[in-house]
Amino acid sequence: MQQILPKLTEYFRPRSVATAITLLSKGKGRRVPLAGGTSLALSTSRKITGLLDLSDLKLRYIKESQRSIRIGATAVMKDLCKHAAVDRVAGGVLQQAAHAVGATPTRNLVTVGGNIVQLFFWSSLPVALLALDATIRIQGKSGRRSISAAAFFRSHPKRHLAFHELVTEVVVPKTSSSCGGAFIKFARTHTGYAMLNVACVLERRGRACHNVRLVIGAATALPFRLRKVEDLLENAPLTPSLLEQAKSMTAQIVKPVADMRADPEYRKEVAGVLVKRAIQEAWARAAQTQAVSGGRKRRPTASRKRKSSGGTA
Amino acid sequence: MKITTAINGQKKVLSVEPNDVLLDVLRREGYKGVKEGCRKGTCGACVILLNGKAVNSCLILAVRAAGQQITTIEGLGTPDAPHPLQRTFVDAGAIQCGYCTPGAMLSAKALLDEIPHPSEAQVREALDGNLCRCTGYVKQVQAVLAASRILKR
Amino acid sequence: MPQKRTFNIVGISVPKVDGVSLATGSAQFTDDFELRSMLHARMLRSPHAHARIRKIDTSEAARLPGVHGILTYKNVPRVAHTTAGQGHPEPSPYDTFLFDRKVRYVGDAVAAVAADTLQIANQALQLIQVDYEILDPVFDPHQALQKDAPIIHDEPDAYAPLPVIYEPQRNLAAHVDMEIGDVEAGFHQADVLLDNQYSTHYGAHAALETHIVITYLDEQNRLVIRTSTQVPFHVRRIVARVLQQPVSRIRVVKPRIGGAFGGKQEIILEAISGALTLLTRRPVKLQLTREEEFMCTRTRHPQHIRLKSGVKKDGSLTALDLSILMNAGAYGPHALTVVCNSGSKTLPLYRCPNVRFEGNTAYTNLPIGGAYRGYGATQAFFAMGVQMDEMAHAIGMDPPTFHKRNHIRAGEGSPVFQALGEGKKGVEMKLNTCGLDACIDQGARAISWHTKRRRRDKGVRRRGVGMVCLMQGSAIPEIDMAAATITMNDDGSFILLAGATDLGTGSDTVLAQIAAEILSVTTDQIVVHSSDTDFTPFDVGAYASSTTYLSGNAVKHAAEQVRQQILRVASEMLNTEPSMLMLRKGTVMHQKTTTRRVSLADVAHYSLYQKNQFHISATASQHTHISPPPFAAHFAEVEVDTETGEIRVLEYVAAVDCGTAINPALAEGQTEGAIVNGISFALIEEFHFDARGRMLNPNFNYYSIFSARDVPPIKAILVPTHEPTGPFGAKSIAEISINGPLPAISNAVYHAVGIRLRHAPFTPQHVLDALRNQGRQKKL
Ligand SMILES: Cc1cc2nc3c(=O)[nH]c(=O)nc-3n(C[C@H](O)[C@H](O)[C@H](O)COP(=O)(O)OP(=O)(O)OC[C@H]3O[C@@H](n4cnc5c(N)ncnc54)[C@H](O)[C@@H]3O)c2cc1C
Repeated sequence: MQQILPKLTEYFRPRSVATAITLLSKGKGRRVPLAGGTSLALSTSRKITGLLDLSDLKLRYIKESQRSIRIGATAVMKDLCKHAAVDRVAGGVLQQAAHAVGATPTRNLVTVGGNIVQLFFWSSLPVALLALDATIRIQGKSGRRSISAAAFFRSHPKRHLAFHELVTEVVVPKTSSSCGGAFIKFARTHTGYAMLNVACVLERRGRACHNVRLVIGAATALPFRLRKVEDLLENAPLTPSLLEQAKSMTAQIVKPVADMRADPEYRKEVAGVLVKRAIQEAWARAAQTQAVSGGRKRRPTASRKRKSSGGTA
Repeated sequence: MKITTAINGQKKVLSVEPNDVLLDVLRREGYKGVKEGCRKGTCGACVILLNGKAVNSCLILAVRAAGQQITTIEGLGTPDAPHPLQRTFVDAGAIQCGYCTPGAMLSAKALLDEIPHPSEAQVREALDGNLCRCTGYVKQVQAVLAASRILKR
Repeated sequence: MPQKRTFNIVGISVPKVDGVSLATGSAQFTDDFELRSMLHARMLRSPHAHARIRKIDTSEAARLPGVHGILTYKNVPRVAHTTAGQGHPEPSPYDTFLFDRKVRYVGDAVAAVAADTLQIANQALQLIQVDYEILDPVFDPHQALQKDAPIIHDEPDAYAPLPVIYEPQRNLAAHVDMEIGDVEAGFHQADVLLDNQYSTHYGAHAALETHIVITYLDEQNRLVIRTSTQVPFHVRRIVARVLQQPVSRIRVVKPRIGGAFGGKQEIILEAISGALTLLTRRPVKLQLTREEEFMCTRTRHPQHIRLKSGVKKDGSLTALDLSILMNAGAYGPHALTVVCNSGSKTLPLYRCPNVRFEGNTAYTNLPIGGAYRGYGATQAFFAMGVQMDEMAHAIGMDPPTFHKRNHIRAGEGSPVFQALGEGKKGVEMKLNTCGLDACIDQGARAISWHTKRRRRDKGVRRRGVGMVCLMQGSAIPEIDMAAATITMNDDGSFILLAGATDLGTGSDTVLAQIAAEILSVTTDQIVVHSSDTDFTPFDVGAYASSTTYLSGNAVKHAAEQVRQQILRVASEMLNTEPSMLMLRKGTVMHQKTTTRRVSLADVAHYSLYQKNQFHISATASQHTHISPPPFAAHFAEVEVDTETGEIRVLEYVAAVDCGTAINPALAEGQTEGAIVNGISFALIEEFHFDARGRMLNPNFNYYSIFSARDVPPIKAILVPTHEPTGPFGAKSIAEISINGPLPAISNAVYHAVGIRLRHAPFTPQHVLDALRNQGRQKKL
């Protein structure tokens, strides 16, 4: 039992992003942003001497514009879970991913920024954001920049974010009603760490899928797109045999790192199953949204969600 | 550092170190209903309400409580004037060892404040962060649903 | 047939006597108590599974400002003892020392430090220098018993205090065997012979409150131990011996306990904290972290089980041959008795003329096994329950019919009761009650057995139902004892001083109900104090499902004596014979002319202040010659995902015969809690070790247990019988239901997909592998 942040002496609660960045810059890497704190409050790092609490930066928002949804970095998982606009994006894939993070009291704390910066192999949100082709907005001492989720998660975010940089916002493009999505967490319990995460977003046109984005997480250190499987599905009629092909192709591509809870061979195989199911669910949701004008129909009921969450119980 | 918070509706000035965890500070201040079970955010014994939301007090640095409202089990009700949840937990047999009870009850309180008439599934979800090894949760869920019926009246 | 009996308070779900204080957060657990100048203790633990300490240097740590005391093997008495809190002399080997020169598993105690703050104590641990000579470890119990295996307990001074088989020189921590009839002949008579291997895994109790103790010296310089324990009187005895103090110099106080499940039937911290207090003359608090709780307390012993059985086509059993190799881990608390229980709580359930049992327990360099709710029955019922199902299947009989045909009945005994005891022979016992038929019928109805049993799913997700029958005991005959004292206050209320230990189970309430029933008052008129070795009478503690049955009887007898005294005083006041009087709702009245009456307050006042004064009070003790078993039939409905191997329990029904349920809500609560623990254990709980024996998942992140969201609908049905030897007909209920989920789920999975799961836990990978093997076998 080591002491939490033994060298911590400073705590700041800036009221503007600009001040925050100035404070970070002066900290030369020894001051770090504090968001939900669910990782930091367990940290025993001796490097950190100061914390910058992001609570008063007014970054806890979810804003809807015509083409996108902008989510502030300090919005918490619970905010995403109960937001109607988030719910509507690609069959609710983002909402499902947020819902898969830990348990209720944790979901009340974990922030969007924290969840994507402090990436663990089992992290949920990054998987969904990759599938949604989201954009991450960053601000640092030399100004603002926006990068794609794909670029953001290409290496561990903590590697490429400068110490004076803050993630300020995540932008998720809205989807049309013909677009469906699904997020599946495979874990021992509903609240446990994922042994696999799969997200799928696709458009349904007639009998075929388009713009399929399939992401797999918790298999390796970083989540990644299953490009070959996406290509296989693109513009092809979604038949049972195609699904089987997607399944076995996934199992061939995925090379899981060790996890004490199950062998790589097993997780590989289940990855294929989950990919197949995610495609089916995404497809079903797209159909449902298409069937109702305006796409305002509620997503499938709780019992259905339960099944798809893939928990053991 | 000195911080000012409101605990159970009362203003409190606390002196804390920057790396003090809220769980420890609350217990130090005499709120013994806040229990320690894992210090990792995994068991929920230390759950309190921070501005009305159920959170793990072991995952919160005490300095962050400055200017915030905290509710602990001691603020929910008293033996003479118990909150409906406190009554229904006792009446339903939802308490065995009672170690997880404060946290579970506060999670339930946050739920009922947000959704006064939850479904069973919503109750189970609201309690999903409060591990209990004694009850099997059956009577806890019943107790929360019973409290929601009392609050309805 | 159970007679219909009417009681005033017994049989009613009165709220727990400590309910309101627990609900409002005012209840006091060990840690909710502050002492001035208290020191905080931490322990240095072994990073090696097996090593000898060549040198240990604490001088630098001792120089750290704020450090007040350090313990190692060098400055504590070397007293061989067991940490198991059991009857004395214990059936467990004396193989433990407060600290030793040798460490035997990753996490073993090396040193303890008491300092002004936890931080300083932690720093001090890092300054202790230990030079280890690393020895070869052994992790597999089979290998541990091989000739060339490293010897874990090579110290010459380990011994067994009872005449039992104990051979540490070959890592044998315990052995038991028995044979009734002629098993080989029984196999010859059988139409179907089954011979299978099973295994069960490590499990953690996972009480929400970790082990914690506070020790201090009182104004008479006596050592006070405030501890989260199930066995206060055993704590006192063992600490006294280990610290070489007279029992009279030690007081053990049990506050509210945050869950135990057997894990706190063990004296792990009390002597260490006590030694630090004696060394520093200051109060000391020693609490384990969650990580230590997983690695360094006690676990459910893993077992390798072989069960051979013979059955005739008509459904009668011809022979049962159960042999078990149990992994003790590094030390042997409960090493003998748990494995004994694996036989003695399972084999008598079925009528069978030829029965053989052998149990061996081997030391390994892994975490230590101990008492855990179910106590060996959990492991063995997995094998028995699955094999009974398989036998029923083999002869084409519906499992409920098969169980009914074979289970023991009221009026019958079993030679196994006599053959297997706890470290000695058992007792002869004929059952007064057995409600198993009704349990089977009611449970089957509740889960719609007959409809669901006919269903055969074809798709990816397939459902099935399975069942199992169970028994346990109520206290350990000829060993356990309990006592209680009841005194009357001057307002007519009562104080109940019970040696029995409420660890959250609600036993304070059950005991108050028993007293209240006899004394014709409500439970709010009974103030309950449980377990303070200075003030409450002796009780062995809360284990072996003994509290309601045994301590309940002690309370009942004490209350009866107090009642007699009340009637005597009242007869003096009313000028009549005691036999003419009755007690009703706080008043003593004449049976004929009920206007001749006095209130309990009048009686109390008279006895204390007016005439022939004496304090109305009584102490009664109870021991038992028998251990009446509770029975249960459990039913599970599952859904198996044939693509991922996941098992989901859809519904669970438990019908339990616990005699009279003194407090039905609490009895249901015991059942529901045990079931959820059991399902969680069967499906997802697992210890992972690295190649060097270190537990990799000592946290709830990776050792998941079920939350409210993971739990299926559970139905607990209480089936009443009337056990004449129990208080108001009561037997036990605390443990039995944890034994159900492993076999019930396994049997349901067989019904769903045709595979027999014989190795626990039933993780998705394991299930998928089994499905694959089945597929392969079908093709061959
Ligand atoms: C018991 C438990 C279970 C969990 N289960 C899951 C799960 O199943 N799935 C899942 O995805 N997550 C889970 N989490 C959450 C996850 O482990 C991290 O703790 C969480 O994502 C961190 O978010 P935070 O807002 O609390 O970040 P903090 O702890 O505040 O910060 C984490 C890191 O990110 C940096 N940071 C935070 N915000 C920003 C920003 N805006 N810009 C730049 N840097 C920033 C911080 O400086 C710090 O280094 C769980 C957490 C707990 C405690």
